[in-house]
Amino acid sequence: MLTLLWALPVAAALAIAVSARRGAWLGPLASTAALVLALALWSRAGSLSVATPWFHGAYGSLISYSLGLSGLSLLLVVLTLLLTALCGVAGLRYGGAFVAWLTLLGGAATGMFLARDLVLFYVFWELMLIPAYFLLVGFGGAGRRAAAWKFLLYNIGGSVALLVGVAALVAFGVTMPGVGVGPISAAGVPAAAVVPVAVALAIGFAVKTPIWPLHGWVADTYAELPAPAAALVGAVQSKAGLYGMLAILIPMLPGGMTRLAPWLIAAGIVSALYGALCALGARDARRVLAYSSVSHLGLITVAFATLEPAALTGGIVQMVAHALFTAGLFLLVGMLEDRLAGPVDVRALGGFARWAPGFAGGLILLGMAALGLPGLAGFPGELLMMVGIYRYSAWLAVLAGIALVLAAAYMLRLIQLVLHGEPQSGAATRDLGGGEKWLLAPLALLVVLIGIWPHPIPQQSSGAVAAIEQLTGAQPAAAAAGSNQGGNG
Amino acid sequence: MSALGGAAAPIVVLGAGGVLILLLDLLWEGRQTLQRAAALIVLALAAVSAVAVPGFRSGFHGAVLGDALTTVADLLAVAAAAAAVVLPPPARWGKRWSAYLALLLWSAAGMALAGGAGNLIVLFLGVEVLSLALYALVAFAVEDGRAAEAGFKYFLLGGLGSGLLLYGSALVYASGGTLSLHAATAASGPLGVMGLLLIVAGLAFKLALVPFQLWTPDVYEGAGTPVTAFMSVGTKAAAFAALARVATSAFGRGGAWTGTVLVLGVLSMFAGYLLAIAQPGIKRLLAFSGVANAGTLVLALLAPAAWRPAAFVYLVAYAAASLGAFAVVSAVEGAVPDPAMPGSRLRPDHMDNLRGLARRYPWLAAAFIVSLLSLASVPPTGGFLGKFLVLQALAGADHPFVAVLIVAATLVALYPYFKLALACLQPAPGGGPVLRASAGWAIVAGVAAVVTIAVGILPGPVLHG
Repeated sequence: MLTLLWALPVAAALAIAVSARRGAWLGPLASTAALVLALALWSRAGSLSVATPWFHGAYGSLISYSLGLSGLSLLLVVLTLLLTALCGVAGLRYGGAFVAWLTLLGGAATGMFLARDLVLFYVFWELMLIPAYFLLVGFGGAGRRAAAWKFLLYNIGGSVALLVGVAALVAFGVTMPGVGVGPISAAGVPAAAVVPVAVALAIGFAVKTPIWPLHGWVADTYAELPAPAAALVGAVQSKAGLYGMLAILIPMLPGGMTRLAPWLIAAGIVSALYGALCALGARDARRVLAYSSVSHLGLITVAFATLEPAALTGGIVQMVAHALFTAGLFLLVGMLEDRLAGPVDVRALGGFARWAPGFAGGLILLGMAALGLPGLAGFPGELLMMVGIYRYSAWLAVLAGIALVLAAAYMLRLIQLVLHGEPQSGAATRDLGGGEKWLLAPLALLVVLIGIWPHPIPQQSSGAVAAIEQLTGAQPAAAAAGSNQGGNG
Repeated sequence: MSALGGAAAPIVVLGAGGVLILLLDLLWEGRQTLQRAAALIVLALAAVSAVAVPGFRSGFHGAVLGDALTTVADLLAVAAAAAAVVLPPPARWGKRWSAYLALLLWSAAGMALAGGAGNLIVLFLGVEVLSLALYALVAFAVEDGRAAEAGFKYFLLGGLGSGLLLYGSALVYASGGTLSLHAATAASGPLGVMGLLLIVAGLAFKLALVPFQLWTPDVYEGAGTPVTAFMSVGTKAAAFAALARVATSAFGRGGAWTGTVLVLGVLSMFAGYLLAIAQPGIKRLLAFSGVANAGTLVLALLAPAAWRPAAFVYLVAYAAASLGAFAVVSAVEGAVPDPAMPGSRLRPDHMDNLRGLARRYPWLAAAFIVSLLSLASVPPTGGFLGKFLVLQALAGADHPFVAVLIVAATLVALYPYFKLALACLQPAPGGGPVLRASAGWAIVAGVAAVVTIAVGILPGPVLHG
């Protein structure tokens, strides 16, 4: 059953490839079927798992094909499959090969969120990278070759660091926590190896997220990918790193995590501020969105690294929200690019609200969600994260607050420059067509729904948060924090 | 059978098969297809005898060993020879076809002998048999100046390697009084250590480890592509098996061993990948890739308790990927080149000749990319699993630093492999190469791609020999 969730999209991708690329519609269809299946499993999260032995590695370690559906996995799987289906529909006009790679990316990401074996996790993790690379090389913009090399070097660099960490954990006999169960003790890892292994894992996750100073690939990649692919990569692939922190780094090496936490917090807060500043200065709308992602994801990293329950919950809510509004914004910008037949230079535009009220409405709704307007999806997560971060350190909360203010500034700048003012590149532009509206409607609906009623997300993720709390509660979580911390640890 | 050693069966089959092919030439002169079929039948028999001969244990008082390592080396030699038989030969070879097949089979017999050697004399014999046949094979198109030069170069440097091996064996005998690799001959004293180092150097020539790799790019480039494919897999597997036997004997416990392997492996890995970056010719690039892969494989020997499964998967995955890649090279080399590409006039295996391949021959390009991804150790290919197992073995054997070095080298390796993959995907101004009609390269590339993926997904049968 769980296998179907990732195998359906992967099989569809292969079928498209074999059918000489004529059956492109199979991609979104299979993703939708898997999505329906995932939704049908909504109430059974935390109880489903599959495990069969795969092969024996060195030192008799058993590598198994093991999947599990925890609440957190379910949330991310639903999100991935929804976006794979939507982006697949949006990508149909790029042809069969594009949809095949896109669907393969979605299937690999789904498998990664379900994997309960380290090696299996890594296989899916890398399988995500191949389609993204070929999407970039095959369908990217004019600067695609340079962007593709950058993407590849950063991401495989991160991956091989992760591989060292995974190989070490497997060699020490540590296994991945099962579904809804408490974490397995990391007693097998020698004390001297804890920090190096944790660093290797953290580098792998930080590249994928991406977090400063390992974010170098992100702006070019998001600027060169076709919009539907940028939407999927920006929304889903970026969650892989954060998920890895929650599912592997924290539960399997809690000691290493507490040692690393101050560094991760520092990198995360720099990302949040630096990303926001870059977004404020960027001209290409794609780059505004790319740096805005760096900023948001940096803040989520900070929240996770504090290990405060409220911040963890808030971070998970924000992961879901960020995926929704980022995908929506990339798709919207892509639609605008189609009309302009070129990149969206925010400073050379203006007045679109008059020509395209539907487009304007979408951009305002999703942009407001991104800047955390109460009532929309960006708000509940941000609020919880801020509560948690404040409990960890008030000064940190001040810095995070500055990032939020900057987020409002760059989003409003984007909205203002594109929608208002005098129309500069003159031509009257078509508003969103019916198909485009239907494509964005589910995202807009979910953004509003989560803003009003976010409860199902914390409900599904409570298991993961409780497990982490139980694990790190015994340890001096904030010992290295230094500054004046409030609250109770 | 067991008294003589069932392990010798594949060697006998291959050696006798070579003679038979020459005799059949009297009946079937010039009939390539029949001779090819006969050679494939001999190879199939050899494969069956390597796996299934009853009483498959050491024979000749331990001189020929029949363990999992032998089986892997035998099967890889047979598979590489089969690929060299199936791949279409360069046009000029037609007349001496039977000699080519016989030399291939004899070289494979030498590989089987070296792979299962239990003492130093048998090891030397095996290495010499495989090398002598290969010298002739490399220079087979002797009218072609480059082939003759490659053959001569290989002969000179290969002869030096064999000499070192023999001299090392003599020193070991002088210090310990036995030639058996099986008996616990402690390589003690300066003589023993010297002997060990010379033996390792001799095998390093055959494995093409830095600094004994100088012949590799020229020979790989000059030899006909089927021969290159054959030696890139078979020679390495046999020499690795021999080196592994040295490692598991008492030598492996000596202090000089770890340092020697570490230096050879790390140097080969980095030099191989770094030099591969600058190569415009695909065969030279793959030659350096082979150097680097041999280096990585040798490093696995530093994990004495866990190298076997790791090395088996790594070897099989490397073999499949290498044969697949060379099959595509042979297809592209023999093709009518795209007249608009400047590099294609310089050399037939120039990277530019790959352009347009994905557009015109998508399945061949897909098989090539699978091979390259495996060489770059990206899942879900066998190359990934092999590298993972090597890393895991080293991480658990107090060599985490070596694991980190391997990972760093893997990062360097991305550039050459992805450059090739990218070249296939680029459009060509003139539409790309037009391949000669032949099923040979399609079969080898297809089988190699399937094996590469299969090892990555279901490694069970390979893991334990």
